[in-house]
Amino acid sequence: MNKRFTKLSRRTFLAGATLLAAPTVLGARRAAAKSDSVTISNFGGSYQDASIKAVYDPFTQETGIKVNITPWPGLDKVKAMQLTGNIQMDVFIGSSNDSASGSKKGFWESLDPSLFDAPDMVIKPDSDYVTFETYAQGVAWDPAKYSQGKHPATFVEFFDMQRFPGRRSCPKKPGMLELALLADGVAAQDIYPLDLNRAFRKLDSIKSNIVWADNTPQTISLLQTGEVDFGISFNNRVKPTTEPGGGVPLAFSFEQCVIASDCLSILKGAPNKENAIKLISYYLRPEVQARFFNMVPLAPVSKMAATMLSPETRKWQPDSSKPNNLVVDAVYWVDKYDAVMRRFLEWTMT
Amino acid sequence: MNSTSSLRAQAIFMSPATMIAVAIVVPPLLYVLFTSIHGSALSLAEFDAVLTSSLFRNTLSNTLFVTGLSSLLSLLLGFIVALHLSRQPARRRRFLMILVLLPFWTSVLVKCFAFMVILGRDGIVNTVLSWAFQTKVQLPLVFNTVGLMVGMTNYLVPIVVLPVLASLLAIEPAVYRAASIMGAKQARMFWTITVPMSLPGVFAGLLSVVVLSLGAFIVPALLGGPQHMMLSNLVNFYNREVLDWPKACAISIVLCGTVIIFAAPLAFWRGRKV
Amino acid sequence: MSTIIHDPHSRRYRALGTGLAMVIYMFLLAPLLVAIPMAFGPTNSLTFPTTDYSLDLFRIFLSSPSWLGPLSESLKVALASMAIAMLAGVPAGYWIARHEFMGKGLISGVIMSPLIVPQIVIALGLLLYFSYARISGTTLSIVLGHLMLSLPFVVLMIVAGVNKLDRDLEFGAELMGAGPIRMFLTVVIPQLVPSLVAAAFLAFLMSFDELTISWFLTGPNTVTLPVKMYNELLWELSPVVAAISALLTAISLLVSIVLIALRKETSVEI
Repeated sequence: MNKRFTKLSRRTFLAGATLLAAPTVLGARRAAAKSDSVTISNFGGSYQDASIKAVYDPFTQETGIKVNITPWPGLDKVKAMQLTGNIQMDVFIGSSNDSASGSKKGFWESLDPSLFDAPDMVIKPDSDYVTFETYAQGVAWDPAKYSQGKHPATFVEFFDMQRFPGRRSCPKKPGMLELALLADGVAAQDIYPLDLNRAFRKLDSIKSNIVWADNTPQTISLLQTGEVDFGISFNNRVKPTTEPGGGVPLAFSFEQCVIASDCLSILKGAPNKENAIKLISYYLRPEVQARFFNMVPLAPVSKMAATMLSPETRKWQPDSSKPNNLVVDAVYWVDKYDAVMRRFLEWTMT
Repeated sequence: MNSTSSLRAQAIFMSPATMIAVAIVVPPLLYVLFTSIHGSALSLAEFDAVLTSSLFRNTLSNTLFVTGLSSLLSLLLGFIVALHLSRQPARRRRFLMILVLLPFWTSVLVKCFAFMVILGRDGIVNTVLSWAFQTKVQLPLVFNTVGLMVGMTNYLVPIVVLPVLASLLAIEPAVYRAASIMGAKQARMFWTITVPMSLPGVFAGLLSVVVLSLGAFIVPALLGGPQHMMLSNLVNFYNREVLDWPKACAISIVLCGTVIIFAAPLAFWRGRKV
Repeated sequence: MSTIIHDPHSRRYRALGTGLAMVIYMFLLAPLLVAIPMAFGPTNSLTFPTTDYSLDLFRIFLSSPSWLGPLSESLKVALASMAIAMLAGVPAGYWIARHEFMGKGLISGVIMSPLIVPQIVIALGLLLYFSYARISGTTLSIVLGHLMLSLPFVVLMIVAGVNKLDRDLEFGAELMGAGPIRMFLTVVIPQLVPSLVAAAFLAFLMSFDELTISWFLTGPNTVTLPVKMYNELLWELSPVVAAISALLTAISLLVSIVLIALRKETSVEI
């Protein structure tokens, strides 16, 4: 920026924007000079309670660093923070799609690979974000209504309207395309790059019976209220329904899953970068992972942590080594998301 | 009052609101306009990309369909309520007004979730119907056109009631008395006196309803089906999912243009009527 | 209303009209009649009608920082935007109602424009503007966003209130030598109290319930209650939302009653 411009902008700033400028100083929260805290986003609900118990509180005890939690901001909020230069958080928890997309846009600080024990990890860390948990997308149903053999268990069966008539709920996300290709007989290792025309053709075959779930809780509530007969949902959403206070208990099939993951990253310009690095490496310690994933029905990225889990917990974990399971390729989606999502939305609207 | 002191007074009275208008109201709209044409260096490329995509065209036609239908429905229901209110004694009208105003001021989020419970497949409506017909009834009433229309109408009816009621109350009772002395029947009085005299209120109500339903965002997101994406949802999609501000802005400009196309004639008629 | 009924059909028409109106009143009230009982339901599912009544949901709501934070944020934002809207809107409303001046049409047009511009467009524009002005995500940005929505309503209500006042009192005060400001404070304001109260309540409620603009403007530390509610429902269908709904409805009820009680004095069709 040249000198003249700064002078000009400063004058305009003083003349015109005093109205805005004065309170700005009051409105913006300044990071503490001596950093003894770290701010991380979280999804809320029971997941957040478990995060506090299993990860944040012990972390504070060990390091003396206080962990502040903020509700999950979308990538749009991250973008606004980067533009504003008013970075209000340090660590971002997000889906692999969001993390990869943010990585491409340059939202994250790069991470030192020596922080992680890569051989122990099911999904290897990237240069500026690291996977810490996985979860499975698969077929869910109400076992009180559909006993063994009366419900689809794989994606091929889910798309079979002859054998299993009824209404189906699907998340309104382009991730349905991978499912459709698996249902159409494509082997898991050949899914990427997606054959879009083939996937949409397959989806067309059940389109009239689909109820779209606009958000994640709907994948459960549509089944619980009997709005649909079978649905595509997530293992970590189905398990709580089987526990006290979960409403109508549902069942989930692990015979075939699409495995997706969540990642951690540090915002570029984070006010407490050092603490953020400490928190992320703490998150990935096997014993911390084991403690956390005994509380929430997701799967750890650490292979060692997986062996430390209780047998009850393991019943609800997808097996990522199973050949007909698919691990989502976040990097494929980074470039394709906009165009594919647009086509997918157009397809749902017609 | 001499002119200098009046000018000073005017500065004191008007400057806070004027500053807000200049510093807060105008810039966002200019930003939207500039981003939509600056997105690709001062050109209309963004508009070209938006206007030619079938996603946008579908969304636009849906928006117009939903706006038309929900405006008609809410106008019809709102007129019936306003007519009923206008014929009540003042004290009872005050009480009944609460029934109209309370929903009007209730958070739209609350309404949407209540309707999910009411209209669900095993929701209240279907449970009542099942009990009435002694068979299991599971009509699809939500996440489709029905649910969307129920939500939109519920949201818009009070907005029609208020101006129409004001117009109806402004009709002199003497007009009706004169007409009935001349031997006019109720139905005829309704069509020759009530309806024409209520038109200013109808146009005012219609104007608000059209503007609100063209820009509806939360109700379609929560109660509509996937084929009910509205322009607002598309703006949200381009901002939140794709982080594409120029396209979000281009769609915003189209949305504003649509509002102007619909609102201008209504405002013009209203100006002539009032 | 006319009490002359010569027409045998008229009773039938009237009965039909009343019947239809009753159905529509029920339709308008239905969401509230469902949402409030759900708030006293069990903590594990959103069911209606609920079988066991309890205050558990309210207890959860009032004991968890993740809900109280947004509640206090919403209260802060609503109070601040109400205060600014009143301070700016009341004098402006009075001046617009009583005086002709250069640019009156332009200024009132700009102030009123948020009534016509779709909220999502305002929200997006504010996000861009505040991002470049480097205040996005702050409490201030949400206050200013809500101010944009509530200011036109405050101005409209004050204009309507002033139009009902007797001008002679103001002329009288001026003849006695009171300057415009003293005259405004001692003569106009006391007569405007009902309009002021109604406008203040309205501005508060508009901000407290607002979702679209907050949805675009909140930062990690400035989540408002409606945004938190919406977020929660996107991630986990939490019955606590029913308790929040009841709370919001109670506030709406209070405001509606105040506005209705003051309708006669303010004569504003809102």
